[in-house]
Amino acid sequence: MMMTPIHRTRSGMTRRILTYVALSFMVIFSLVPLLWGISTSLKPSREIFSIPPRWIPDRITFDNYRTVLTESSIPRYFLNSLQVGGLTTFASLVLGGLAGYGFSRFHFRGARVALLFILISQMLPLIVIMIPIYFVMDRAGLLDTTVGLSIAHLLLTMPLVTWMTMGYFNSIPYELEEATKIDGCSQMGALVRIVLPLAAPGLAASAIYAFIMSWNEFILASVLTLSDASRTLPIGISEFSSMFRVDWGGTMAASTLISLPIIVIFLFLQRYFVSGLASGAVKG
Amino acid sequence: MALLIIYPILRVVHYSLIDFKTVGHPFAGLQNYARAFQSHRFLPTLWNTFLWMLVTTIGAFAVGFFTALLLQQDFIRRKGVWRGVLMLPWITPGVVTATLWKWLYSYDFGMLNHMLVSIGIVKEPVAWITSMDLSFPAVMLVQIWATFPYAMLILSAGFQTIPQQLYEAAEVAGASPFQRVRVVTIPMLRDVISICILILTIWSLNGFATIWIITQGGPAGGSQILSLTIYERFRSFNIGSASAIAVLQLMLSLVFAGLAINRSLGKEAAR
Repeated sequence: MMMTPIHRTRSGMTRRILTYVALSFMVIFSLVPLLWGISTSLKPSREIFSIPPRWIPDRITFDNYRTVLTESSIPRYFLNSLQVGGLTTFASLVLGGLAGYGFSRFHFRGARVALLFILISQMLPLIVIMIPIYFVMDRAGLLDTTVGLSIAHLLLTMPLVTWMTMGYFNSIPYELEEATKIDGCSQMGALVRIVLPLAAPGLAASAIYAFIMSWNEFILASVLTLSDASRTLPIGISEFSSMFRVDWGGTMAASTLISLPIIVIFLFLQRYFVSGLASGAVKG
Repeated sequence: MALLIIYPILRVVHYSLIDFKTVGHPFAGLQNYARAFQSHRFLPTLWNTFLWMLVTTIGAFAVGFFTALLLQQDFIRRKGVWRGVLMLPWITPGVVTATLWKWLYSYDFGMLNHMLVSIGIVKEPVAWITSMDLSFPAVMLVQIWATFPYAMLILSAGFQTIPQQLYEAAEVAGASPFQRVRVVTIPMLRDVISICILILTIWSLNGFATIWIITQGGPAGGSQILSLTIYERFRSFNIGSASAIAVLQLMLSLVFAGLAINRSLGKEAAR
């Protein structure tokens, strides 16, 4: 992880200072929009439009949050988002995980081609497949349902989950399963008793990734959901703005509520998540 | 699985070739394409799309590379904390990102104008979103903000695979820090760098929510890119035309996807 120090005593101090200044600048650049949003969400409406704008509100209020939670459809969308995210994660873990296990353990004809397709599909623009998906869902009667949206999100998450889990399964030696089989275990038994517990951290990382993708997804949700029955949180944010007026306090409170779960999950599980993603790209 | 990918592609191509507005959806040949491409908005949009891809990809890569280099310095402590904070823009949901920046860019009440005026960089507040010249760069900045952490993450991981001895050898040979990056880091990470750039390019080509929420492609098409045109046409049930442009966008993505796959397969063969 760490580099061994390169001693350059004369310029060492300047280099340190410059590096920290540059890093701090990047942190400010990253945080300003987020902090400004949180600050706005805590202001009473009069203060939101005060000139000049202020970072710290004179009077901190949770009114905006109260409005969002009691007078808007956000709580309803929250449940929808949880439902869609949960379904998508579960299905992509089962299907993608099994596919990943298959690719990792059995060498069958066409495996390379199949993997190639998975890679390509990761790069398919949603905006392009949105058109056929809409008509398919329409015909299947799944427009405006959480199940329909979950199926659509599966297209988004499955390839990556397959790819990620394959990597994790590859890192578990096959000899372990062989040993259990010699002891009289079936292939499925070996999978459940030996492989799954070992792959658990990797599976968790894939699950988080799938959930975040589904939670944040906007294009498909905006096309496939038509009413409160299935609308998800990203669509909900726009409801605080009408043609002529934007309720910035409400918008920012809703934005904070939407981002918070994702950011908390990410910060807690950063390590697994980051190493999973990075190894995928570095190993190609 | 392959079916999941091939079916939608064939469908879009099919839609792009039929006349949706006539009963029975007769075959229309290339009419949809001709109409879509002849629109006076089409060429400026195509040009914008290339500009958008170029600037946001290079921007996100450059900022990510620079940040990864900073994080790589051996004297930085608590790297995990710095990295966690710098990853936040990427983790924030796209819709929230766009909304936050739209508010930040607000003409009268926006924090950005206030900060710039009070530091003295500009005298008058700037109309970021509604100005013809600035709206496009403004949304580009947002896309860079949201995607540079990915480049940072991937490149950081790559940096750690470079043997330290190479840097030491370069230093003994008298290379400055800048030269060390040029002769060691970049050549050693050629593959990681190209994959990273390709992924950023694909994201950028398919970027949508950022522009849609902040400027809706405006003013007067000044920040319009292909994906917005597809969405608008689809929303107004102009399916044939939307599909024709979608096929064009699909072909662009497939070119980049092909490049990326070529890279990773080549690497596998070399192993």
